Amino acid sequence: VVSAAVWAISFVLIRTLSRYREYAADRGSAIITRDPSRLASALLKISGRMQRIPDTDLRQMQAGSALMFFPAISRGSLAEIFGTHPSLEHRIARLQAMEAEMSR
Amino acid sequence: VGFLDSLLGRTPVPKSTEDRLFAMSTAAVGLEAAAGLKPAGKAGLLFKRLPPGRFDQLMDDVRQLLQIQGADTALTVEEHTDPLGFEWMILSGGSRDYQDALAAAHSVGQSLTEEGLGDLLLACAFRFEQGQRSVYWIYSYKQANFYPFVPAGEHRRDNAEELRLSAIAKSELPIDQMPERWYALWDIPL
Repeated sequence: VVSAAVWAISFVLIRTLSRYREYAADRGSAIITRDPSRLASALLKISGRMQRIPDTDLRQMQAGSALMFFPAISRGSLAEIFGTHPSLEHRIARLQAMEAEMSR
Repeated sequence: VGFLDSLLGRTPVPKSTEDRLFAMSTAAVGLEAAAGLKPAGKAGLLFKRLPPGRFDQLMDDVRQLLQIQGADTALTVEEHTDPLGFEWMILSGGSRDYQDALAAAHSVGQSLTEEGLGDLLLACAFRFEQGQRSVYWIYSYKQANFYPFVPAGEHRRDNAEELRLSAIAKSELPIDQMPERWYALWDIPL
C-alpha cells in the first residue's frame, strides 16, 4: 500500500517536473531566438488556433446569423495534471506574456 | 458562460457595452508605445439596414453635435454606402485618443438604443498605422468586445499578426476571446 502511494505521488511529481521542463525549453528558445511571438505563432500554427480566425465578412454574417453556434469546449484540468506536456494554451499564454514583457 | 447556457445555446447579454467601447480612448495611446500602432484619427460606425431616413437623421444629429463642440474638435463626419449596401458613418480628423469620435459614437448608439434599434449598429472600427500598412481594431456591439483586423492584400488577413496584437493589447482592451468571431471587414472604407 505504501509503495503504491509513493508511486502515485511520484508519478504526479515527475509529470509536473516534465511540464516545467517544457516551459523552460520554450522560454530558452524564445530567449535564444529573441522572438517569442514567432515561436508562439509556430505553436499556434500547429494547434490550429490561427485557422479559427474566419475569412467571412461581418456583413455577410448578418443574413444567417441565427443559425450560428459555437461548440462550448471546457478543457479538463485533470488531463493537465497527468500530461507530460503543458496544454498549448498555457504554453502560448506564457510566450505571449514574454513577448509583452520584451516589447516594453 | 454557464454549462446550462451553453447547452441551451444562450449567450449572456453583456452589460454596459458603452463603457467597454470607451476603453479605446486610453488604449489608443498605450498601443502606440506597446505595439507601435499609430492612431490614424479615423473611425467608422457600421450600420445594418436602418429604417428609411433614419441614417440621414443620425448624420444630422452628429453634425449638430460637432457644431456645438465647434473649435474644440476638428472631427468631421461623412457618409458612405459600401458595395454590400451597408451604411457607414465615417469620423475623421479627430483627436489621437479618439475621444471625440467616441463621444459621437456614444450619442449615435444611445439614440438608436432608446428607439429599440440598438442591434442595427454592428461595429465601430478604428484605424491605426503600423509602418506602411493599416491595422484596424473592430468593436463588435453584439459581443461588446474588440478584435484586431489586419488586411494583407486581396481578401487576405495576417492572422499571426492579429494574434500577436491581441496578446499585446489584452491588458488595455476587452478582447473577444473566441477568434472564430473575429469577422473580417473587407475593403473597409476608412
